[in-house]
Amino acid sequence: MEYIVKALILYIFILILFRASGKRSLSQITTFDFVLLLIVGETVQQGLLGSDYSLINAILLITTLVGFEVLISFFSKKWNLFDHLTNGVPVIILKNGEPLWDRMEHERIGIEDILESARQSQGLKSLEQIEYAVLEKDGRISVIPK
Amino acid sequence: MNSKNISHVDELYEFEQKEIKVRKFIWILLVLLWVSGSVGLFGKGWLSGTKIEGNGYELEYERFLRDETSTSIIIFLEESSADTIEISFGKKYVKKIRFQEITPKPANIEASENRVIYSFPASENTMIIYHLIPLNAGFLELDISIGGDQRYVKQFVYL
Repeated sequence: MEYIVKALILYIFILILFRASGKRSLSQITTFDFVLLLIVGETVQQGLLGSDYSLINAILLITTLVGFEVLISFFSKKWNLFDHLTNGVPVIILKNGEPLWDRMEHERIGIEDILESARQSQGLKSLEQIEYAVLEKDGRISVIPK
Repeated sequence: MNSKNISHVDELYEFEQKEIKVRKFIWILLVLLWVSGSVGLFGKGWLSGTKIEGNGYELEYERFLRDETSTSIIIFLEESSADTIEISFGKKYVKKIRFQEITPKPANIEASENRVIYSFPASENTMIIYHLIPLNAGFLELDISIGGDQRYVKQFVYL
C-alpha cells in the first residue's frame, strides 16, 4: 500500500511543480534542462523505490504511475475543468499583428519566440503577417497567418 | 463556450488569469517547503535535532525522522559509581525501528517482557550511540530508560 501512497504523492507533486513552472518550460528544453530532468528522474526513483529494489516493486510502481496517467487522461476527456486544471489552457499572445504584452510577460514569451515559430511553421517574416499567435497547452506557439 | 474556434481560446483566458494567481501562490508554498526543509522541519537540521538532560545523562535525538533513513540517538553519560549502566527501549519502539549499529558494543543484551535492555560498563563509556532506521512513517514514541530514568519522547517519521 505504501508504494501507492508514495507514487500518488510524487505524481501529484510533479504535476503541480510542472504546471507551476509554466507552459514554456516544457517546450524550451536545453541540454542542461535535459540533464536536470535526468537528475530529477534519478531522485524520484530513489524516493519511490527506497530500499526495495525487487522486480515486483518496480512492476507495481510502474503500473501505479501509468494507471494514474490513464485516469488523469480519462477524467480530462470527461470534464473540461479537470482538463484545464491538469493540462492548462491555450493562450492567445498576439492578435492582428499586435503582441499582447501582459500575457506574453506572464508566460515568459518574447517577440523572438513568436517570430521563430512564424518562420518555422509558416515561413512568415514579420508580425504584421500574423493574425493570431497561440501559446498551446504543451508550450508550442501556433501561428495563424492573415 | 460552444463555438470551437479561435474565439473559444480567448474565452479561456479568464481561466489562465486565475491560474497565474494560483501559480504564484504555489511558488510561495514551494519556497516555504524548501525553507522548512533547509531548517530541518523534515529532519536532518537544527529544528529537528534536540537534547534533553536527565539524572546523570544527556540524550540527543531527532524529532523528525525519514522513513528507511538512518538516524542516531546519542547518550552522554556523566561519571558514575555504578559498574554497569543499563539502557533499555520499550518493545513497541523496537518493533518500529531497526538498530543498525551500537557504539560501543553493549556488554550484554537481554529482552524482558516489555523491554530490550542493553548493558554497558559504566566506567569506560561516556558516549553511547545508537544508529537506527525507522521502518514506518507516522508518529513514533521513543520509550527509553537510562539508568532507570524512563523517558517518553515524541518523534515523527516522514514518508
